[in-house]
Amino acid sequence: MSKPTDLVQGTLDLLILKIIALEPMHGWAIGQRISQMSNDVLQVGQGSLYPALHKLEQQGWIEAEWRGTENNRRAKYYTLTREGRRALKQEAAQWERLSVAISLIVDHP
Amino acid sequence: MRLVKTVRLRLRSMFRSTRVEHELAEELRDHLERQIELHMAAGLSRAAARATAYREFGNVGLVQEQCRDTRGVAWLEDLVRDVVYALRGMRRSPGHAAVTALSLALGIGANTATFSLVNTLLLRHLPVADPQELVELGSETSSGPGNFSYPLYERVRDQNSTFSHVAAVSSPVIRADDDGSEHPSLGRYVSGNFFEALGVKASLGRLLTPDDDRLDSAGGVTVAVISDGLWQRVFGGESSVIGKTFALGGTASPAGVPFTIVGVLPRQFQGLIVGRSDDFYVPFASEPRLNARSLRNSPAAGWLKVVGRLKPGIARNTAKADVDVIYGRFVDDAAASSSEAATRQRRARRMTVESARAGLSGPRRQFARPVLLLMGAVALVLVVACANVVSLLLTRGLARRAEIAVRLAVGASRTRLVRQLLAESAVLGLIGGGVGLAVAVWGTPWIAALMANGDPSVAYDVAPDSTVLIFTLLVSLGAALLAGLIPAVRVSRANVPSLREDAGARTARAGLSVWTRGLIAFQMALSLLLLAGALLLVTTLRNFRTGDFGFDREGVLSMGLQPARAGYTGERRLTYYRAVLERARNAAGVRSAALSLGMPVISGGVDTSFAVEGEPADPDASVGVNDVTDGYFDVTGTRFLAGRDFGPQDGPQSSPVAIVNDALARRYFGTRNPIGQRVRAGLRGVVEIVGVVATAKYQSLKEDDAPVIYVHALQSANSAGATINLNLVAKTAGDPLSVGLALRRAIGEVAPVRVTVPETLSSQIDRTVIEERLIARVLGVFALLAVGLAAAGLYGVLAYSTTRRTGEIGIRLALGATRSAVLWPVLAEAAKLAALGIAIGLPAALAVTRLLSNLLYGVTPTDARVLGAVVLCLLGVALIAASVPAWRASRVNPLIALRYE
Repeated sequence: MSKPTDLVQGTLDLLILKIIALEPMHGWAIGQRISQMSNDVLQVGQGSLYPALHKLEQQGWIEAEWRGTENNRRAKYYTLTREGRRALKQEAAQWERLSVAISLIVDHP
Repeated sequence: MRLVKTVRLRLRSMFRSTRVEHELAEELRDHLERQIELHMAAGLSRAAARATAYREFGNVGLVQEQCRDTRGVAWLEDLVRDVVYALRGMRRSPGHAAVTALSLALGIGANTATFSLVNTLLLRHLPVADPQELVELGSETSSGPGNFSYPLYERVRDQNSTFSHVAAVSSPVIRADDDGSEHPSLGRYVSGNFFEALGVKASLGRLLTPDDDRLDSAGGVTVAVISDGLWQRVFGGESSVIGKTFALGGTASPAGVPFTIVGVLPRQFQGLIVGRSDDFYVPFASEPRLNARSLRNSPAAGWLKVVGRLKPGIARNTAKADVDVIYGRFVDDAAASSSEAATRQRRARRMTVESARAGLSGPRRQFARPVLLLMGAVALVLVVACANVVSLLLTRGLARRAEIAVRLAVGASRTRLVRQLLAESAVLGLIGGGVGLAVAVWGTPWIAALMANGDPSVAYDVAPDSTVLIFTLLVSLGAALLAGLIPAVRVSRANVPSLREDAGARTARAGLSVWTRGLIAFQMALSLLLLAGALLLVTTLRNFRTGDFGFDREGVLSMGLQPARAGYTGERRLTYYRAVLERARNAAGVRSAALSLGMPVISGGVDTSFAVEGEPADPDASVGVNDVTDGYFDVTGTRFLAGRDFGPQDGPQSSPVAIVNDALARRYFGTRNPIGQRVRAGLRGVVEIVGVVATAKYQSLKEDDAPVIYVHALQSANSAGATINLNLVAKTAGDPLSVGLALRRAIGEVAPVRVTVPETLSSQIDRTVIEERLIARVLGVFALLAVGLAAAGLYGVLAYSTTRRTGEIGIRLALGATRSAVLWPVLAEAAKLAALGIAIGLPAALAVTRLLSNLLYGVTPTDARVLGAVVLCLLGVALIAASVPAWRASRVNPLIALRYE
């Protein structure tokens, strides 16, 4: 199963929101961008990406739209909704708190 | 916003699922394509790139499934699948489904019909602005509710501080059409602010205003607004109706006063009293034009129903305190010009302020209790129906144990199974509810007609509205789910070993389960309860017909004579009455005839003060009074105990005479002989007693013996006959109504005086026990329904169990068992179950039928004969229901049975 065991639960949502907050993107590109930006540290299981995207869409945080791309192809582009933007801010703050808390413990001399 | 979008997405997923699926597939294909390109760019061959991409991606189908799950329509799809599965299951055993749905349909239909009446009488709001602000002002005395007098209404209207409007409507109706046609138009007087207070707007023209209701109104007071019904019926819905006139007759102007129509009411407004639709309204100021003796200025005449609209934020109690103060002042002011007794009576009156959001009281007061009682009874019918559903589903579930065990074994979850079984009963419930609605649409008018009891002016609007539909839906689903839950849980407990058992089940689990037995006994008990209640009321009705009430109603009829309207007064009127009596006595088919002011039981009765001459007068003494001619007691079949009837010797010159009943003689004369005594009977003056008759019921069939004095109606110009309209009463031989119609024609030849349509005393008396009749009939139908359902349930489970035992029975017969040895146990089983039901039901019946005791007459709730009959009836029904399966079991052919095994 391609569950993101290597990612903290819920972080995949945050990563997706963050990536498409920069620009609308299709699924494959989101996966590529995550590895790229994390210097290949984070590998998102390709199979787990799509359920996550669909869930976010149902939650109303992101919107999808079919657009033409290079070579006369079509791809489903995801954009952040206003609600998604708000959610991103919250999730990011949450993550911030969490990572600070964890490093407080882990870095304790 | 978000909710809307979510719902839209989900609906899109559901209804356009192929498109969504297609998009999902395309999205994933696009992804894989890009991945393949990536790998090919890194130097792999297309085939290798493709393999790598797919390997990296994992299970495409699973990912698709996961995406689908996020769409959150899985439960809906499951539900649809369950429902489809349920329908398919029903097609496989249509008999079972039909019986179950029919059981529910009858139960739900009966409930919906009864609820429609509760809705119409108690729940449905008036079609006016802000009905919750409306209250009814009334007054309560020890003898019951009373109306307002006009002066009291004016006081409350002008002096209150708690109402934004106080409006009034007359309690008596005005008949527009006095030609004796089948449906005369009926109207009421209303105060000028009536429609403004209610917030009702005209659909055509204008409605009445306070200006119309001033005695010195510039536009004249003889204006009217008419209902939409009258507009359509009589005026063809033409807008030219405005300005047309119609005549209303009255004692002040026998020729009739023309009233000008100024407006038409909206269709939905049918008046404030549920069940009575008014055809027209005229202002109170026009009343003196119609009535020679106007009631407008009388503080004693209660003839107004008063409705108030509370000011915002005012509670009913505050308003009541306000009205109490005004009423107190009113009584004080009126005391100077009233008798002491009248003031005492007024002080004993209590003001009431009740919600009028569903309309003014009236039929509500009369029928609220009976209808609620029937609602309780009909709920029991539904429980019996549900018990049928439970036992049918249980037996069906047993038959499906194999299927369910298999499904459990291959990994279906128990909750999933329960859900599926519940979906089945929900579908059954909805089918039952749909059919039940049809049953109700047919049944409700029947009950409403029983309530109207042949009175054409009464019409209950019982067409099902949204409240009724919601009720039916909730009851259907609630009943089905409740009934489905036990079987569903039990059946889903089937486990894998029970699969192996199944082959042997035909013999091992042959008998009825504890559950099924319990259900049947429970149904029997509830049926007994309903049957006992119904039979008690039927006995009451029979007692009302056959009991000894001091008079004989058979063949007695009455018709109203109306010489006042023809302008006959005084001596001329007495002459007319004597001529009528003469003609009636000589008419064919008439055994005896008389004139009377009132008739036993049906006329309501008139009271008068009473004193024996030469004895100190008791100001509170009050007796019933009736003005009659000679022959009256022959007509009613009331026996003379002493003295004589009125006769020719009682003329204007001799002293006024009267006859008293036994109850009066005993109360006021004890052992003394009342004959020859002189008494004062209120307005009728001093009369001499010449006879004593047996006591007949005077005001109602249920009353205790009441003292009554019968005064000669035609003796002199001072007699009642000279001023009051009397009735002609006759005892007929043969069919009373055909004799009556001939008699009416014959009397018509005496003088051009209107005579009302003859009615039999018997049918008029039936009308006085309308609540009892309503409950007896409807409860009777409910009880039969319950018994029928219980019998069907018993039949069903016995038939099922004997069919399952065919093999066993075949073996026993093959081994030499006699056919009766097979037959009897089945009957015994049924009898045992019925006996168990009776053992539970009898104590319950004894406890519950006490609720009926004030409706009963001549029978107590614990009447042994009634209860005995009910018990025998149930045993009989149980044996009949069991006889078919028992007989069929005894006819089993061992050879075929064993081959079948």
